[in-house]
Amino acid sequence: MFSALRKSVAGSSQAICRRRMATIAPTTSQSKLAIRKAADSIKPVYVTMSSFTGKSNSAKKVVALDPTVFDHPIRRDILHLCVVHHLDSLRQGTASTKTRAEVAGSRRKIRPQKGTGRARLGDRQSPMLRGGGVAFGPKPRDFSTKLNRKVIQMGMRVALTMKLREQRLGVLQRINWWSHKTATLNSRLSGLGWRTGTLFVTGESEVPARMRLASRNLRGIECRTVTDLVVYDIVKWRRVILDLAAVDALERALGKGLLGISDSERVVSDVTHSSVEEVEPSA
Amino acid sequence: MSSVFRSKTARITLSNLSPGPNSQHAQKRLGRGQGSGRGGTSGRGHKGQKARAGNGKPKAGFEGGQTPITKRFPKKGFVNPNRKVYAPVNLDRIQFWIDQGRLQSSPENPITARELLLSGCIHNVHDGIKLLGDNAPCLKTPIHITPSRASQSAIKAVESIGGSVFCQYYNPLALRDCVKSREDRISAAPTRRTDILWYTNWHNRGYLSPEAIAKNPKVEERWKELSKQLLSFKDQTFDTKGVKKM
Repeated sequence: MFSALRKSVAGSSQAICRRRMATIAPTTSQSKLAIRKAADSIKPVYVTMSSFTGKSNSAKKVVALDPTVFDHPIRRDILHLCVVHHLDSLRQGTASTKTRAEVAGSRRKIRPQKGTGRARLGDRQSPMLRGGGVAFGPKPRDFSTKLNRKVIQMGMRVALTMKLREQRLGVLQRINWWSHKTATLNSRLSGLGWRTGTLFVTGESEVPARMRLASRNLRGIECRTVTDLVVYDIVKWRRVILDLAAVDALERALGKGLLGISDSERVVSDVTHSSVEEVEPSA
Repeated sequence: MSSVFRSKTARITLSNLSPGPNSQHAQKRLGRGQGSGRGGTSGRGHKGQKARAGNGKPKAGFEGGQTPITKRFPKKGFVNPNRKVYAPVNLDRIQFWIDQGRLQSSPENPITARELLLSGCIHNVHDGIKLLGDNAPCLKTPIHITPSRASQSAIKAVESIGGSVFCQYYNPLALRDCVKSREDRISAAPTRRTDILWYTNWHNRGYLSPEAIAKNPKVEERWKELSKQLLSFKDQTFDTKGVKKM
């Protein structure tokens, strides 16, 4: 059956196609059409846009998110794998003890084999004796484990989805603060209720300077770039705030590309929650 | 963020993660008393060589004292220390990657092993990239590429639509620097006779051939001198007048 199918494909596109890649290449327009068809049934998930200025009911904005990244079935076991993998990688593995071969000293027999009325003993480094080597002690080793790249990527999707469903994922236009003073940021975050356990993730190449200075001495607040983000952070931190660039970066890295959300469609403004469901992406 | 509604199920935190059901095995605990089922002989049966500690299986290939098959027949073959494994990349695959927007190239920024690896076009660079010409008619975009080797059909296909191929020599360190995008080290020049001949030949689009030196926009000053020196043997003559014949 497959050979017949292949023949028909080869006939239609007039190319000798032996590999699957090749069959797709000449018919790009067709495949794009198929993707677009599939995308019709896929709708973005929405999250209310947060802001440092707090909630203002007048201009509420909503952010459209890729459901392949932010609406993934929850797999706790995958999260566990990712977290354990990460924590394994953090282990120093430098614990070290000396075996009887490495303990300094002479190899002289400490007393005659017979005639003393006491126990038979060899050298001083025996693990049985005080000052001797350690039997089966720790030696430096690498504790890091391997986890498949696709599992790690799936873990990231699950973690983001989890945070979104727990309503602990926020999106900001941009993560920056007007002042470098910690006190100003502290009072603002306290007012928002974000003072305890909030991770800010920016998609820019580094955390904006004033935000970094203002937040770095605040316990329970951390700023990070999206390239440094791991699944462990999302599970660990109570609340995760992304900026739009970070959302873009995550969707580029983890999305299936079935639903292209352009910059103009990203932020939907001035709609109530019920009508949001009806907003359809034109892609 | 702060909302009226909270889901009833417990929040997923580090403290309530667990491995998937039935994905883990409990450790076998030997010699922990009758009730455990593995007390007494600890599952080793009674007395004998197999019941003792430290007695492993005989070495792999040991046939109980009979001359093993590995010794019975003479050695054959050899291991080539100069062997190189190239990661094959075909033109149809590159075109597909370009169509998806995963690869771009320009004469100033040609496709190298780094771009191919990062875009997922290859999964391992091995000892370099070899450009091959499977389904060459699929290639529609002019590409500029710097592989380690290229097949004649691929060169023909790329150049016929206005692209360029320059095969560059990479030793393992240079290839690693290329992949990591490190530019603080000078990349090694070919030293083996076969490599020198290969990379100074325009037929192979070798980067040290005079034609490539003239055409390649990314040519380095060092290559010009290298090319001159490596090719000087071709027009070297020897003065045999003063030499006594034995």
